[in-house]
Amino acid sequence: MNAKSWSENIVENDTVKEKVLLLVMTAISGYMLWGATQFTAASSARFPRLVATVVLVGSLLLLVREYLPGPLRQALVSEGAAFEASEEFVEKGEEVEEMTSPEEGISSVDRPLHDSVFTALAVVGYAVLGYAIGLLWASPIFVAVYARWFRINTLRTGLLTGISFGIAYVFMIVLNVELDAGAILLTGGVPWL
Amino acid sequence: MAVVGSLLEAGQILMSWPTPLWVVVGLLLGMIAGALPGIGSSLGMAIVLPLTLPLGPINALCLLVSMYSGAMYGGSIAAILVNVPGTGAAAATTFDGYPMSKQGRAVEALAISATSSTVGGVLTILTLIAVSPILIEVVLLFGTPEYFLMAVLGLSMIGVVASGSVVKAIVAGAFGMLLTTIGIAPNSPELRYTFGNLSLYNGIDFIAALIGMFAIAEMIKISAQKGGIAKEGVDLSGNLLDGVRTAIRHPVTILKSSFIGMFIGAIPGSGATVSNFISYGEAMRSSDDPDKFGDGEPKGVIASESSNNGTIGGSLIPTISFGIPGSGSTAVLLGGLLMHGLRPGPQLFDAELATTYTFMLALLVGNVVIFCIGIFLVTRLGFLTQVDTNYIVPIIVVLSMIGGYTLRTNWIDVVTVVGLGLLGYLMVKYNYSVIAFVLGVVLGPIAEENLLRSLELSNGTYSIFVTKPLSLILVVCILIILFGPFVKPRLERVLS
Repeated sequence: MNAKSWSENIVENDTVKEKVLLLVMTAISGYMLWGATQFTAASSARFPRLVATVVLVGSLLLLVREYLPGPLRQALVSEGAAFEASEEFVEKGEEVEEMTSPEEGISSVDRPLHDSVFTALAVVGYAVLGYAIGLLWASPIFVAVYARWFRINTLRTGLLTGISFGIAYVFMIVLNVELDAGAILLTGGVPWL
Repeated sequence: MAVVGSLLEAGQILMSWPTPLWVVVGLLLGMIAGALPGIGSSLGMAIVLPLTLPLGPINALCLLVSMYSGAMYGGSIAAILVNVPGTGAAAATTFDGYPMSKQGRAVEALAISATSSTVGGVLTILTLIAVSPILIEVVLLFGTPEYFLMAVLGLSMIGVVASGSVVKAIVAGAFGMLLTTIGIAPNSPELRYTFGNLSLYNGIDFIAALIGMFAIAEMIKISAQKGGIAKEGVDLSGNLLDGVRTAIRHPVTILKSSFIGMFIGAIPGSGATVSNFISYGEAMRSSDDPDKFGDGEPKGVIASESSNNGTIGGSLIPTISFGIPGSGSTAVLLGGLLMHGLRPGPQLFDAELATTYTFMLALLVGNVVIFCIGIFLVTRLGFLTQVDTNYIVPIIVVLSMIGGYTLRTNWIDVVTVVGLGLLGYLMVKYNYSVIAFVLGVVLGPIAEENLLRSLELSNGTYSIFVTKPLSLILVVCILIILFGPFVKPRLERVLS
């Protein structure tokens, strides 16, 4: 399997994606459990050790659930829902939601990336750009890029971009937070603002 | 007498400027958030939370509880007009609300919704105020070990109550708790998992976690849902007064549904998403003509709408008494309480009793305002259902990111917003309870502090959790809740 098909498999395959989520939880809890053994004060380690063990054991069991014996697998997937409404209504509710807001297969605007994947990447990019040049300037750039990707017309893109700059500016003035300064560019902020 | 004095003081605080303004602003913001599908009360409140920093605790809490209340009504607007529930709490409203709309009775359905929401909300808040003296006595029975056990019980309850795998919910909750251990330990100067980074000394901010989990995760999800919400123009016809009269003519349905909502709301993890279905089912079951349900039966709208507003009163009980939120919105509300230096538990029923009553009264007044806004502005709110999600997503992301940064002007909070947003998206997609995770984040520090304090009191022995009758009862409850779902089928097999 080449690198491209491997990455496509991760994005498209639900089982693989859930495993990635579980692996992240397993790795973090494993690291934190090990980290708890390094603390000098025993009381500082007690709670992290307790909850890290719960996460580690739980996520490991969920990760390998297909290979577990039937009764144990059944226990892992057994549902709570003690106060669940009758199935008829839940199904009806789900039908309404699915009917009115279907999640598109790939992209609702005919782009090569799934809409959710693009939004996730755009949000990460926005945070990185905000760190580099300041959120005041990164916000309209993010909104403009997002609007163009989703094929929003120029007038509305301009309007949304203006609104996002306005929001950032109001936050900066009202809460007296330095949003116009970045860590790489405009490090001193913009004096005339 | 202390209760009456605090109630009078709360009334005075609520009526002093600018608190009434924040109540109305909160209601309007809540209605807008509720009417925009995909937004809802918890997301709306999470975004507004950082903006409440310059407000005092009372104004901030009045704004937040009013948003919560307004969103419950707002959710019905889209449910009735375009068959899309603005929030899960209004899902059952679509069953009869939308058919009424199609029959040219949209305004009547919206008036029924406003009236039922108001009556349901007022009734349950009055009940909450009435039972508060008993609640105070109960809360005062709880000591440090019991608070730790209540935190564990709250998380365990979510596993059982929330739909989906119990184990997944417990893992999600424990993972949330685990992340709160980053930073300085509560009872020693030990630095935990900070990698020497000064920004991590104070740990992860739970409000940033709430914003990431509710706002960013939801925006990533709804960005994949195609464009506009209402595909056609909305027909706002029907008689307003007919709606009010219809709702008033069904006092039993309102009463029953409101208290079903209140009861279910008091159980952590369930909330209005569950209560509106159960109330609808009960209204249908007890009806003389159940076949009418689903074809524009006003009782369906009455049941769903009075129960979701009734849920608010119920969900406040565990939130303010033990710091265990009953729903996503109360988790954000709890975040607001802690952000403004108020700790749930005895403090809210002792030194801060007037503050507690102020936001209960704000809810009461807010419900009356909902009726006025619902009746007089209802024909103006229809346009909200036609806002394209593609316009909402970037603006919410900007608000979330800037809101996250302004919490402590710490880039770690932005990393938290983004990181937990991505994690939250995957958790929602694969049915890991986000509410359990959020509850873990909120309860983590409270649980750790109470665990360590209890062990200090007992010289390190865990027997402190079983020596008092109350703590023993709590331990038994936790064991039943955790192991009940696994043991029950085996027991049934053996018995049969």
